[in-house]
Amino acid sequence: MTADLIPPAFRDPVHDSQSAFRRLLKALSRPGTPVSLTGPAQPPAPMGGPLAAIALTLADADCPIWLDPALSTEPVRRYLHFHTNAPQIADPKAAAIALIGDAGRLPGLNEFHPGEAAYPDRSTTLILQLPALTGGPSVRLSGPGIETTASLAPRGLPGWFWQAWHENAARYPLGVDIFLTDDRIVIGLPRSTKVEAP
Amino acid sequence: METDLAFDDDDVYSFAYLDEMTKRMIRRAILKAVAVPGYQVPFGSREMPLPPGWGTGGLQVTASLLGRDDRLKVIDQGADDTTNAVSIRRFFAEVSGVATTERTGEATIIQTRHRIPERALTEDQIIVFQQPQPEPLRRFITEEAVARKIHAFARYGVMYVRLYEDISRLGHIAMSSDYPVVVNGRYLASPSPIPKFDNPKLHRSRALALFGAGRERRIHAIPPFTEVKSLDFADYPFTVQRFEACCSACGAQDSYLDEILLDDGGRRAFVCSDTAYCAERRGERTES
Repeated sequence: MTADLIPPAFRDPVHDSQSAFRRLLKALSRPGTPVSLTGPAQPPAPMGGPLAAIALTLADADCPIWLDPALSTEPVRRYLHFHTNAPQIADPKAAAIALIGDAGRLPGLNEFHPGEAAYPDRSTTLILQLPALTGGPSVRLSGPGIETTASLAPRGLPGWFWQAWHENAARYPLGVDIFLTDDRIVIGLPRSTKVEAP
Repeated sequence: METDLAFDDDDVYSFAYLDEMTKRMIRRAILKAVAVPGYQVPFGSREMPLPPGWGTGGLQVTASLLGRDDRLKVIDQGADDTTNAVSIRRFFAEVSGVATTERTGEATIIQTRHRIPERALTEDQIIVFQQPQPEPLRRFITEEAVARKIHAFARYGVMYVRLYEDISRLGHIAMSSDYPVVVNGRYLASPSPIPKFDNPKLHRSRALALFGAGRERRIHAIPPFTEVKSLDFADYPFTVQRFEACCSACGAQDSYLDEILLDDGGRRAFVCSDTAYCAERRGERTES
């Protein structure tokens, strides 16, 4: 394979994106539950399979995306442009979806759009790719979609993250929604989910 | 003629009718709706081969969810065998080839008009409501901009006044269906015109509930295990309908009943509105 070739997207765009969407829906409606998500074969590094699957499933010309510096490489930009045609914009506040390859350097949740009082749906959805979704500091989650409580211990989030998430949930119904991914799993974290330390 | 036009019977339609870009748009709206329970997310409703008001919203939500492994059940007022239910079930069988069922327990997606099945739904099921009017305030707030402000500020006093007027005039709250609820302690929402008998089933349900309003171009959602409070007053608590009778076909005393006239002399009987529940209780094998 020459360096110029853009790797393929889903093998079966209709049914693979349907399956991916149902998994995202399950993840978001049951926050904290790990949901397996298979991505397209060999997306350009550092994109993992689930991150690529989410971009291919949700992004299109009507859905501006923002890429963090780790993902701002020519192969990733060309891949996303070719397969989704989503506008790639420089202002994170104007993005419908923010793809973040290096969550440790996340600038802060306030960099993104929380929606408007009359239109809380006009917010940014963040996709955070992490080294692992277990083995980090454990937190307890509660809220819609969670029967009692759920625990979550993702590794690689910045130290300020859970405090910022607490603030994000406090301004409900405004706020950002997050999907956490590693190389095969996605976990949903809608703004309605509250966090308490263990 | 069809062969002249090079139509292959198998690929005349996109899978589940809608094109992929429309499905993506609806899928993004559904995810927002799940993240903000009870908030009505605007979406670009499409022309469907069904008149608005006959379930175009539910149809579009279902079309965006459906996959080849799904098993679809469609009910209209609880029944699997009424016109609306039959035509929508046939429509999806035709345009997506998915399996259909009448058994509530076997379905992965249940599209419904105006009822929630009696049998408790499970974690693996999604219920899709057809909703003519998603805005609970529309009864007295005709302007969308005003209703939107009321939702933004969560100032729902006007709805309580409406309920209070019923009590002062009639002695009770006279809304027997489409009874307003507050979802997750924040948004006033309409549960679609289900009888208020079904409202308690929405509270902390194990299944995800999605509401599609095609003509009004709105989608809202109630995720599983979400607080759903039917509006009431401390001295006039919310109550559901009680029936004096039981089902004359299966004897159920816990189901929502339809009244049927038997003859010109006015003889009446009551039967379960949920036909699949009734059939299962009678031990019949329903078509699957």
